[in-house]
Amino acid sequence: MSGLLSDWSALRRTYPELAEGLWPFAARLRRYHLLTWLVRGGAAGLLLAILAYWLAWFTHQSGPGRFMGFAFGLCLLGGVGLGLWRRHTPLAAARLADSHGLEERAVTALWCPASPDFFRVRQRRDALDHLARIDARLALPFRVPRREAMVSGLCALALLALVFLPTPMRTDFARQAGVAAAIDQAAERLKQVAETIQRQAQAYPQPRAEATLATLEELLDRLRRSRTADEAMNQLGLAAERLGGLGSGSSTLQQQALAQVAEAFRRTDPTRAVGQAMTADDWAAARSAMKELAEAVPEMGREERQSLAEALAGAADAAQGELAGLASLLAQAETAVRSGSSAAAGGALSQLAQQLAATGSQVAAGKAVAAAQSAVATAISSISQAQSGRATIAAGQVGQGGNTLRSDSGGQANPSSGGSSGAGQRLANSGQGSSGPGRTPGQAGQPGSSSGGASPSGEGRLEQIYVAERLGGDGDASQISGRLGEGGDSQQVSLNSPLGLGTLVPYQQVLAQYAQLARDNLARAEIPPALKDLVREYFSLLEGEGR
Amino acid sequence: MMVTESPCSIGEQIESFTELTRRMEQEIGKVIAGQHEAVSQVLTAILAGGHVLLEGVPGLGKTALVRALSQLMDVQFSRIQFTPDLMPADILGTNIISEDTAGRRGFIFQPGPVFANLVLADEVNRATPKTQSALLEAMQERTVTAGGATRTLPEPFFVMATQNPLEMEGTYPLPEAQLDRFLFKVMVPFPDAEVLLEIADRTTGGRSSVAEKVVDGPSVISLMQLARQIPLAEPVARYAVRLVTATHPDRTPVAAVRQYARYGSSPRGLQALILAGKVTALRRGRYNVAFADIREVALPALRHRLVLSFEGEAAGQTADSLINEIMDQVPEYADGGS
Repeated sequence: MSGLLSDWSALRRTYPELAEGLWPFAARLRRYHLLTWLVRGGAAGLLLAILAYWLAWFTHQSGPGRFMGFAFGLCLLGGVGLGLWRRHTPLAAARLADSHGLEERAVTALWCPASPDFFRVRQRRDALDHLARIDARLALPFRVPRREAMVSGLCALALLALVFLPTPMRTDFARQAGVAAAIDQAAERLKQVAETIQRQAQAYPQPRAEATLATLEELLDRLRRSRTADEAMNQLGLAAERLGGLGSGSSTLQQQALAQVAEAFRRTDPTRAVGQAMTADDWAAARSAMKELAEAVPEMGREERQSLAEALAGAADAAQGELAGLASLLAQAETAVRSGSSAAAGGALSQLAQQLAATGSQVAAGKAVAAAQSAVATAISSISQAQSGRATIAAGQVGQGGNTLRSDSGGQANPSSGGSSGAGQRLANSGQGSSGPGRTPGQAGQPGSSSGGASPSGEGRLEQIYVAERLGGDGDASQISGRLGEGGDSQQVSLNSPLGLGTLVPYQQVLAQYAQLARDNLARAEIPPALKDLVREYFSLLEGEGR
Repeated sequence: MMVTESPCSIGEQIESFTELTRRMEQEIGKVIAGQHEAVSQVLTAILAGGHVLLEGVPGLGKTALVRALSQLMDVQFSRIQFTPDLMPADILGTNIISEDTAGRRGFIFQPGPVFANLVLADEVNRATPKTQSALLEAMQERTVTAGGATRTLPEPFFVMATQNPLEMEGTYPLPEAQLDRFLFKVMVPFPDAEVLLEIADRTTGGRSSVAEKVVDGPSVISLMQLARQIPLAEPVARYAVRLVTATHPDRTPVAAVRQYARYGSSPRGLQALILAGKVTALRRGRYNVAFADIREVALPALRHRLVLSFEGEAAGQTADSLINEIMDQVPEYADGGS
């Protein structure tokens, strides 16, 4: 008996007409069940999506859309699975049919045992007659499960409100996404720089270039594993410190001098190959070309020697000053060539070939270090700006040949320790290429905050400074025209200059200058006394910690 | 149409069932104005082979209803007017000394009025419990034991008892054991204005209506047997069981029953529900018992079997209100579906 109630096959074998009569109800039941579970799955998915959004909110995870989509899809699939999994028995179909006016005829026909008893036979016939009168399509029209649909609708509205209404988290998410993109872009740029250095190092190995390359590769590896801006900034700071330890890059004057030497070599036929190799930064080829030239001196005619001597003289002039050692060897080679002694000329040119390659590769290594430092600084700047549109780095330049302090903070830069607040002073840009070292009349800064976790006294650690108002767009330089004092000269102050090579300094190195600038400007009458006290206390506190 | 001749087939019997009950209602309607529900319930109880307790204030036609029933059924009818001095022997009968033609004297049993097919126990609560209990065996066993001999009552045998709920002084409320013997307790309500007008018209004019005979005893027995063969699906039977169980304060899911009921229905209540449900189904031309059939007969079948507690009485609860509550809260299927 129970087989008939739960098994369609058994029912079809025993009462095929009854099974046929009940089947449309089972089909409707299955469809409604599937729809119900689909909507339930959707509601559960929406609820989970909301939960995922909230979790991302509270845990400061970026990109919650991926988790939300995953949760919604999973629940929807689960709903479909549950909807398809349940098999609707003949008893369920009979109950559904009875609920449409059959008054338990179908259930009784299904339940009562098969027997030739008059009443049983008559009852089943009666049930079949009444079943035939019901059109399942009309009796059971398509309808959406209201309660589930209502819950789904409410969840969808809540989700839409969460996603589309303005919330503080959206800015946070955008910032974190920007940070991630900035880290990726920085890694890509660093990778390109590393590849360039690697190509040059393969041609003519140089310890500084190899150390730079190793530093960049290690940085790239750690940068890819960095999940937050702070981690990335720490890695970049460490890398910048290590790159700084490799010395400053070659000066522009040295590079220019070397370029002029190459230009001088390219002008004459005997030395053209050397000049071309130098221009291509292929110092091994330059050395080979110069050695070939030394071997070819005995076979040169007078005019060729004259031309060679003039090229060497021009090159010596170009190298004079910045590349004194190379200039000296160039002058010796010129003298040897002019002397007419092939052996002396060959020897001098061979010696010159060695020196040329050494100097060139040294300058190239310096360029590599400079390029790496620049790439790291650019990465720090872009990640910092991505982390907070108004946060930037305390910047300065340290290096041999003069420490140029430069603040690219723009506006009111507030060097502050982690978690503290403070006031700062606006500093003029006195970096390379700027209009001058002048400083603008400062004013008390607004309280700032720092997102950096490092201590101000941490050697070599970089501090982020909150800038209340950053002028200009992201990373763009801003120019402010003004007049220094009453009747003073007009000045143009450059703010927000892009961070360049070697512009990162430990906090302590700028603190004294910042403090002095603040004290100098505190005498100005327009600064409210309360703010003066605030600035004094701020710097007193920082200086106390620094000691 | 008299159905004294047997139908040639069950099919014809089934088809005649609805027609017969309709005609019985029609004939009673000639005598009794209104009271359709009470009439229908009495007929259902008759066709289920049960006894009926009619309760209502005087003058509502309780006795007239039973007399009309006796008129339309070609059966032996007797009426017993219950009074406090009525003795059991007055109902059951007694042995009397009799002398035969040869002059020999001996005891012979003189049957009481209970030896009839349709017994009207008018104002049954006016007799003493001793006399009331004389009906117990007759109603349940359909036998009478008197003078050391047990005698079988004629078939069919129905007891139609009436009682007045107002005049309680000098009455003896029926004990639960005896109430349980009644298949139905039918309430006869006060009629509305239209029915009252019709009653006035019928009873104050010159004409008097008499119900025509529609069925005889064997036909009634045949109809009773027919109704018992109606198929009953297990879910419907389980629904009846849940209803009966729900009348018990220690087993019910209904809070009001737990609070206000003292005792619930006996298994006879379940039998009454199912038997009356089958008759109801057949009267409607259906070959199976529906949940609606069970619900329709739940009040008359259970109201005299559910005993209120003192708290229930004090709170103004009635058995009917609790049964309605039970029907509202107990689902048709055990899983809560309908």
